[in-house]
Amino acid sequence: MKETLERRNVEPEQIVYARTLEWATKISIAVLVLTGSLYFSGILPGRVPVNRMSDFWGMKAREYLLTTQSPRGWAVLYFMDRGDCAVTFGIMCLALVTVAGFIGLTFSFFRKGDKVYALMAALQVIVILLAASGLLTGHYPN
Amino acid sequence: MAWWVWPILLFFVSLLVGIVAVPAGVGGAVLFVPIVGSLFPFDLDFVRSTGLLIALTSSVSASPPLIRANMANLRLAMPPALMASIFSILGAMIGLALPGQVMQISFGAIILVIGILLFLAKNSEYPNVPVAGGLAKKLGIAGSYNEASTGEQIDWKAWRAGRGCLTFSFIGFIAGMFGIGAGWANVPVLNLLMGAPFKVAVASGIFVTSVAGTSAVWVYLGSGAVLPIIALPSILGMLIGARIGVQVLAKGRPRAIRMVVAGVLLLAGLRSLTRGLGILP
Repeated sequence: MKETLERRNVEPEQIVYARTLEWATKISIAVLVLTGSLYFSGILPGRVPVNRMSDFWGMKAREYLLTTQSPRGWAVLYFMDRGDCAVTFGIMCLALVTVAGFIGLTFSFFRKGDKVYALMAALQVIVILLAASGLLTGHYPN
Repeated sequence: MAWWVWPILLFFVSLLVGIVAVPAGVGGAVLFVPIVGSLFPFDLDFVRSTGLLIALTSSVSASPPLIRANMANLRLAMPPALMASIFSILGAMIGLALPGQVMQISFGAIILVIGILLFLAKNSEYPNVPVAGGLAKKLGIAGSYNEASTGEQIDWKAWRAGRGCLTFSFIGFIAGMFGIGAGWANVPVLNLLMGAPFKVAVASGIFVTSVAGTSAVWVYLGSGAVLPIIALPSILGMLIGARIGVQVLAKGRPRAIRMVVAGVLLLAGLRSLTRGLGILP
C-alpha cells in the first residue's frame, strides 16, 4: 500500500532508470568482489605482484605506468588472466552502470515525446562514452 | 609495515568514513581523499581516483530507492548532472597533468574552504519559490513526494535552473580535479539556490554525484591512475559503512556529526597545505 502511494506520482522513466541502476550495480559489485577475491587470494596473480605494490603506490600515476609497463584503460582486457587487470575490469563495469541507466532513459523519454530530456539523456551517454573512450587522458605514455 | 596492513587499514578507514558521511550529509569522498591523502603512503593521483570511485559506488547504490520514492527527481537533477559531468572530465584531465606540489597546495586550500563552508552551511526544509523560473518552468522542473514523517503530499517547484547549472559546472570541475565528488555541494545549490525541498535536494544530489563521478572516473581509468589494491578495500569499506551510516542517521545528531566532519576537513586541509608548501614533511 505504501509502495503504491510512493509510486503514484513517479514518472515511469524514473522507475526504468532505478530498476536498471539497481541490477547493473548488483552485477558490477558481484564481479568486483569475485575478481578481488581471486586477486587478493593469489589465485589470479597481478601483473605487478601484490606484495611489491608498496614499492610503486607512492609514485605519480604517469611514473607508475612507465616503471611497471602496466596497461591502462581498455587495454586491461588483454590481461584478464592477471588479478589486477581483472579487478580493474570489475571497476570498469561499475563505471558503466549509469550509462546503462541513461540508455534506458533516452528511449523512455523519446517514447513519451519529451524530446528535450531524451536529447539530454542521449548527450549524457555520449559524454560518458567519450570519457570512457580513452581519448581524454592528457599526455600519457602509450 | 607489511604491505597487507595498508589495504586492511584502508578498509576500516573507509568503513568509518561511510558511517560518518551519511549522517553528516556530505559525500564520503570529500572526507576520504583528505584523510587517506594525509595519512597513507599513496600518491594523490590514486587517492583521488579512489575518492571518485567510492562516491560513484555509494551514490549508485543509494539512488534506486530514492528515485522510486520520487525523492530524487530526474527532471531536477539531469541538467545539473550533465554540466557537472562535462566539467568533471576537464577537472580530472587538469588534475592529472598538474605537478604533485601544485596539486597538494591547491588541494589543501580547497579542503579548507569546504571545511569552512560546512561550518557555516544552513539549509531550508521547504524553500519559498514564489514563481517557477523561466528555464525551470520550460523544463518542467517540479514534483511532489510523500513526506513519511507527516504523511503529507509535498508539491514543489524549482527556479534559477540556469544559475544552478552554471554552479554545477564549477562543482563538477572541482569534483573531477580533486576526486572529492559533488556530495559536499549538492544541498547548498539544489536546496538554497534552486529551491528544491531539503530531502529532494539530498536525494537528487546523490543522482548528480553518481553521474559526475562516472565521467571523471573514466579519465582516471584511461590514465592508469586506478590501483585495485587501493580501490577495492575502499569501495567495500564505504559500501558497508554507508549502510551503518543510514542507521546512525536515524538515531544520531547530524549537526554535531557535521561539525566534527568540518573540523576533520580543516585539519586535513591544513596538513595538505603545509605539506605542499614544504613546511611539514
